[in-house]
Amino acid sequence: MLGVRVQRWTLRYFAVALAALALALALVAAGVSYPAAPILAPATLVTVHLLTLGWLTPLMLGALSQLVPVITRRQLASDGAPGPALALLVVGLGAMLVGFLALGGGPLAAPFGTAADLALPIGGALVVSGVGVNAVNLAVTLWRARPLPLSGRYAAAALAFLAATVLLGLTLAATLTVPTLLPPVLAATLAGEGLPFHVLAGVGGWFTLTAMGVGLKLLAMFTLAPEERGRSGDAAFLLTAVGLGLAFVAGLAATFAPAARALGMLADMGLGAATLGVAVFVADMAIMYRQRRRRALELNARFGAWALALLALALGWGLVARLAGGGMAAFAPVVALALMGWLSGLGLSQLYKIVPFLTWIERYGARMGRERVPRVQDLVREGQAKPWFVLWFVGALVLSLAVAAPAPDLARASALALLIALAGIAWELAHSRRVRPEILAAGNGAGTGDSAGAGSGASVGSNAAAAAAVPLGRSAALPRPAPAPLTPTTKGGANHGNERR
Amino acid sequence: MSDTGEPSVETVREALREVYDPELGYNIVDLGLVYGIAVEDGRVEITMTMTTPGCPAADYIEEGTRERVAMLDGVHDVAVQVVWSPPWTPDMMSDDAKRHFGFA
Repeated sequence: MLGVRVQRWTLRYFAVALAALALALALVAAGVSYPAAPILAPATLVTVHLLTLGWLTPLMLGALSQLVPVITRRQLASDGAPGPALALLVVGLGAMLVGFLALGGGPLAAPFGTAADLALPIGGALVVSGVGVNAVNLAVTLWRARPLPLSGRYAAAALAFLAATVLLGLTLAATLTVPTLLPPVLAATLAGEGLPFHVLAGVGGWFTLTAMGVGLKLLAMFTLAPEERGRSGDAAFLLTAVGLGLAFVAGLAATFAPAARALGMLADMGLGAATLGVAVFVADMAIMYRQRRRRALELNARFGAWALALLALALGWGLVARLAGGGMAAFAPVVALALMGWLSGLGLSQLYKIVPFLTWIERYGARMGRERVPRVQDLVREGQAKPWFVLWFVGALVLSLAVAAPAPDLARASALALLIALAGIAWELAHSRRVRPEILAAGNGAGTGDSAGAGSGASVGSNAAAAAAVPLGRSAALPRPAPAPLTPTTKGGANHGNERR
Repeated sequence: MSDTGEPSVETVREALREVYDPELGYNIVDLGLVYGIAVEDGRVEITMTMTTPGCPAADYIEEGTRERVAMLDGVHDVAVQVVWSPPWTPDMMSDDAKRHFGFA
């Protein structure tokens, strides 16, 4: 076997992720979550965990389960594990959401009382199990493939931060619900100061390092640009990963030993290094875009650049907030921009490529050579999808500004805009998976038509008649199931690939 | 086609222009993925590569190559060998393909 198998759970991970994102946006749009409600209100916790554990984590896990085998040229250590792990993750997240709503002030606090309180640690444990199974599966696959290319090193570092994020989150959840679990001083310190480190490890480590590695691999592949980034690539990775690690470990330790100033300085140095690392990454990706051989970009690569631009903006914004000595509220819009603009923007734009690609493999891969098949790009309608992506990125920016203001009504309106954009994107993804008779009838007449920008339905359709009119040409010595008509080259068949050449 | 009924190398190459890299949407011959074609006594041997090692579409491209050539008159055996050296680069594309992707 030359290529790696398509992971049958990947699309299910993406479906769960999109549903969770829609629910989270609906809560913000309805005004029951931050910024209309306090940042630690039960409904806000629900929204945040829908975004992080419901949307971004399954998105990243689904992408890695498909991409790690491509990076390592090995099958996953276990092809079956992601299925049960997804079930654990979904059930656990559901229980966690119930648990958040049962916290003091939440709508379930009164009717369910302490019984509902148990949902948080139980749900957390299930989520840890689901995420853990995936993390171990991916980590073992990466370990067996050492030495790793750059994108693989990003994935490995991201998995380490995933473990740190989940373990710290579980500890925080347990501290909230079972206050006697830890010594009082430790519990109070964690409850008071643990959250920023949970966010740092999750958004900075797990999500951003994964997105950097996946973005590097996919955008290099799809734009025909060199994936090997040399010293700048190595520098970006090391500065970001080591800097974040230092900031996390030293910063967390400093909260328990506030007198140890060296720890605080180390944490600051780590944050500085990570900031520099992400800046080098963004600059290197800009160079990679300029080095690309595929001049006309497809939609996923065009909006991938928008996501990178919002990453740069979030980085600058965060730096200003840090230098101004802002508290957690000052970083809320930066986190919003990172979550919705950079991570979700990159995720949605790459889904627009990955979903049709997996659909092509599933539906048409085995038919190539026997009959005409469409290209991946024939499955999508970039013209129809583009406005939804523009709305998404504009909405993410406005949402961040509304959080910064703060302007709760504007935040609700922008969340509604994001929800509408998401519905449009989801509709286009569903379109790419629909079986359409005109594509099946025409097969790949389009062939080499430039896929970027142009909707390809017309070019496919224009070849339908020609395809149907051409008789099958094949050797009688090789019996096999009857294929649909394919031009017999031996009889001077038409060129099927190059209408636009 | 030769007097023996087997296809010429050029005929095989032309047939392979109907096999595509699904993501790039261009045929494997002009992408430069076909490194060599040999035809002898009805047996066709193709040496080729892929744009990305480990790509999930690789097996389908290989099988599509085999299937398309096997459909030619006079072919009774097809062997497809996928190699990774030399590694494929966009510079291996035909001039037409380079123009198509915008870097000719």
